[in-house]
Amino acid sequence: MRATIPIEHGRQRKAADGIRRLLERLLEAEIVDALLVPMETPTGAITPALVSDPDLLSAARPLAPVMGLNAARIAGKVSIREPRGRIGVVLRPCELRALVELVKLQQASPDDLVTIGIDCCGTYDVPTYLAKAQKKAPKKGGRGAGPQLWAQLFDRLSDNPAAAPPDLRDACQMCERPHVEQADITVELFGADLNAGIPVTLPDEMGERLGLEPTEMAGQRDETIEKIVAARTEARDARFTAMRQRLDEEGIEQVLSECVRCHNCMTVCPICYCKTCLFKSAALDHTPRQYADWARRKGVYRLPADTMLFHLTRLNHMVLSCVGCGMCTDGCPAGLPVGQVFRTIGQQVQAKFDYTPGHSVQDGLPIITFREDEWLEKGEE
Amino acid sequence: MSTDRRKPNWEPKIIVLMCDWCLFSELDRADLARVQAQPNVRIVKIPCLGRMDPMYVLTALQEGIDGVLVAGCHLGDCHYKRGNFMAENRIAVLQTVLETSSLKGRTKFAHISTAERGVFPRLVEEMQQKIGALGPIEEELT
Repeated sequence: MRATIPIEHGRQRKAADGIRRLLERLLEAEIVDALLVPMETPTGAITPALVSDPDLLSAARPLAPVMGLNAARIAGKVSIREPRGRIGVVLRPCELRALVELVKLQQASPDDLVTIGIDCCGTYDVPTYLAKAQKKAPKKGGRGAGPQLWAQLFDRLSDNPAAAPPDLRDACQMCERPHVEQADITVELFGADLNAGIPVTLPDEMGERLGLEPTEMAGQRDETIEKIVAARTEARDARFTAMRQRLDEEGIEQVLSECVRCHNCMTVCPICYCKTCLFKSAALDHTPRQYADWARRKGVYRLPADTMLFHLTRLNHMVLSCVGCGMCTDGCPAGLPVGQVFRTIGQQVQAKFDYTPGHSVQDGLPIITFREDEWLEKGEE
Repeated sequence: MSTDRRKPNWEPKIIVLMCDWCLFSELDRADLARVQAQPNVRIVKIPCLGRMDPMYVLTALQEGIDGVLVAGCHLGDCHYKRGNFMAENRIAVLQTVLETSSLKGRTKFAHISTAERGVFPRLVEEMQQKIGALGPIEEELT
């Protein structure tokens, strides 16, 4: 069912209130027990929180353009095994894609989850966001500035879908999938005339329980998405070309040479889930004698040891599922373009398997998928 | 000849990761002996190529092995039915990743059948020539 969520006084800047009203109704109609939604703390920080009391949703900031972490991991934690609550999760498109991959990796379960996807106008990293919020609402210490900052981005995108503000996160500037592809409830912001309300698509039965009427929607969502995707794909390909050239000329060793091996990229990555990660295990606790041996045999040995082993192994493990959320780049204390490296290599590997990460839980993970006919084709060659 | 990279008469060190089932146990003994007799080639038996963790390849290269040959049976011939399909997928990822690094061209994935006499020593020889042309693996600071 396609329906419209009305906005108070028909004002576009009140879009966040409209979405909040939809979330309240989800709790009131007992469609979900709790909602995982970005909330604003009394200090002005934006963090995901699990909310069960509709009255407390006044602090919800579903549109605040900031990304401090990929909430798909939390969606996995609250859904992975029974008994569990029915949870509604408000996610960005890249978080939805990561959730799809986590379901395939058996680190999340879609069974009792209601996914609420919102088209994304792009996000700032945490320091940039806090600085901008502070500037917008100096008297309130930056509190409540999220919706305004979002409205700026939305207006900018509506005026010119091709131009991404340069202070957005790099991953967002090169994000060619900023629209919701698959969710239980899709909040369709792209191309919508928000003065007439917020268009949403949701299952018929859920719409009835929420008391929504089906509405005909004019809108220009598809055209708008097409324009945004074209512009972002161009920006992405420019980065891919530059990075591929660097990788060809210098090699990944040089590109990631400043790595301090803090493992932040692994910690913030939504796909890197292994609880017995090799790099946290004792397998790579080398003995002092081993170090002495390396020094003697090789003449010079870089420490901490295994830096390239770490990156190459991580690439091997998760690059097929890389959804391009860019958390690794944000987490890197050395300011390395980790996300660009992973996406560039990821695109090549994914193309080999004709695989699009985060597209659908029906697509099996290529590394463990064997088709009956694959045998015949290859065996009969 | 020497495997010391600092010597002018350097020769590459090669590791062969090989499926225990269809190759090692039944490969022509003469073929196997020709390879095993060489001091700078080591054969590591794996119960099945499905057990081939890309980490084996990466740690070998990190430890200064100049080239890694991964050899298993033809697709469809696997004793465990799909072990080499698994390996095939993993190798596809590994090789694309290694393409972007200085380890480019130092790995090879080959299908050999027990019926193919002479193929295995030839593969090893080709590998030695190829790696010999690439030179010793870099072990400096990267």
